Amino acid sequence: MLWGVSGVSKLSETAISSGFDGSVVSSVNAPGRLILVGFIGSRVASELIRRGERTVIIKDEDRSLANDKINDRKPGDVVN
Amino acid sequence: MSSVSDTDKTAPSSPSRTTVTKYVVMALLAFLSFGLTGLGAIVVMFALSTLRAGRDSAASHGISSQNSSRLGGLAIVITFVLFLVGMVMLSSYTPGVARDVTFLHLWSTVFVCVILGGAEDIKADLLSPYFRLVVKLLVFGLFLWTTPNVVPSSIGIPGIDYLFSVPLIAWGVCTAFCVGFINAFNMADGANGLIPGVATIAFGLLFLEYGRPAEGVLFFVCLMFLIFNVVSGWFFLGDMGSYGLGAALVCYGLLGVAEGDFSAGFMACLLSYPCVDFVVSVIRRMRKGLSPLWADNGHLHNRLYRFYAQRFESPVTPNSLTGLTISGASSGVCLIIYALGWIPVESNAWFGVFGLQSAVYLITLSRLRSSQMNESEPMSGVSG
Repeated sequence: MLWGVSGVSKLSETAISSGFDGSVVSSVNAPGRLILVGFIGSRVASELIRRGERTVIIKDEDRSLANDKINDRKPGDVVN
Repeated sequence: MSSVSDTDKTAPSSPSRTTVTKYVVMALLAFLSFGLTGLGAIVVMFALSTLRAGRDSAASHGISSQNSSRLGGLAIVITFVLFLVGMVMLSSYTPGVARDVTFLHLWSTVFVCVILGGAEDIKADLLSPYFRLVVKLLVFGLFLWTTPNVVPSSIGIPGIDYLFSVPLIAWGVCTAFCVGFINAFNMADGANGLIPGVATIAFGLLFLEYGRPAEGVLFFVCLMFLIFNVVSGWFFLGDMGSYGLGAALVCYGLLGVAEGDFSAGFMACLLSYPCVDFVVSVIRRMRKGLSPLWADNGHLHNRLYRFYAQRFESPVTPNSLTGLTISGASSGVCLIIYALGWIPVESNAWFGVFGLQSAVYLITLSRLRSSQMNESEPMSGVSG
């Protein structure tokens, strides 16, 4: 199971390093990823990363959080 | 770890063909849905299901006809904590409890409920029902008192909204509701896949709505448990699981309603079966002059099980069909409406859907009762 957590963490790092170009989020059917986290898990991981770009892993620190549902986040935080 | 045998698992070294088939089906479903990570969770659950502690005999259940373990809640807690620890160690994840006092209070409340249920799972009747009730009232009362932002100021029903304008009344009503909901969740946990199915759908919807890792992990854990529970029937949620999942859902639900992210009607629709079944069961028992907490076999899931049991010979199939039918027809309807975008989550139109669900419950219960032509018989020592 920790292997799965590790895999999703690496996917997040890849998404950050690629500048959220969408490649990580859209590659839900990559064979290695399917073996590690399965069909549903792959989509859950993509959703986490996609939401992370918008609300969790904040690249632009000046961006307003007013429209986010969860307040008081700091850059780099992952919400509960 | 000591192994035990039941009707399907004759001995660890020589499993029957049925048992092997169940292993394969569980492994396949877990692998397809969550890959090797899912397989890991199934292995943890299998290991815990073989422990001698927390086992129930078939005679102590209203539905199940085989010996099973009540440590499903422990399996969920272990898997959830493993994931959280992994996320903290391997990524930049900051748990809400370390960052936000609301989540700290929320998860502390869930933790107390988990401990209460766990004590009951390890040793039955260790804590009296009234002691547990008082502790739950105290812990939820304290949680809602110290975290007033979780108490909704309105729920979209005119008369109740007027009462909720008085904070003290809102606090009292929400405290009573939370405790009642947890008992309802525990009471409805009577068939394979019923409460796990409801919890899987609920956490899945919360994850889709918020995208928070905690709900994502809970969705994963509940789905793995659902697969294990429905396919094998060797594992029940137990009080730890039903108290813990119920507390997490009611707290997240109240928070979402209080923040205006979704309507109270949406949560009522999503969690309709435990709520309606609880109210109907309490009324039924009081009309018979029994205690509202007295266990009986008059629930819809008991009657639906009898209906299926007449048509299937397998000890597990009718049980699992019962749970899947009810969770699918209650929370599953909510999931379909949400997925198709027919009703916005903030809309009070969900109350109408909840009304329809309640009507379907009552009509189905009435028809099953009249067709089976037998009264529900009080049976002590059975949850629900």
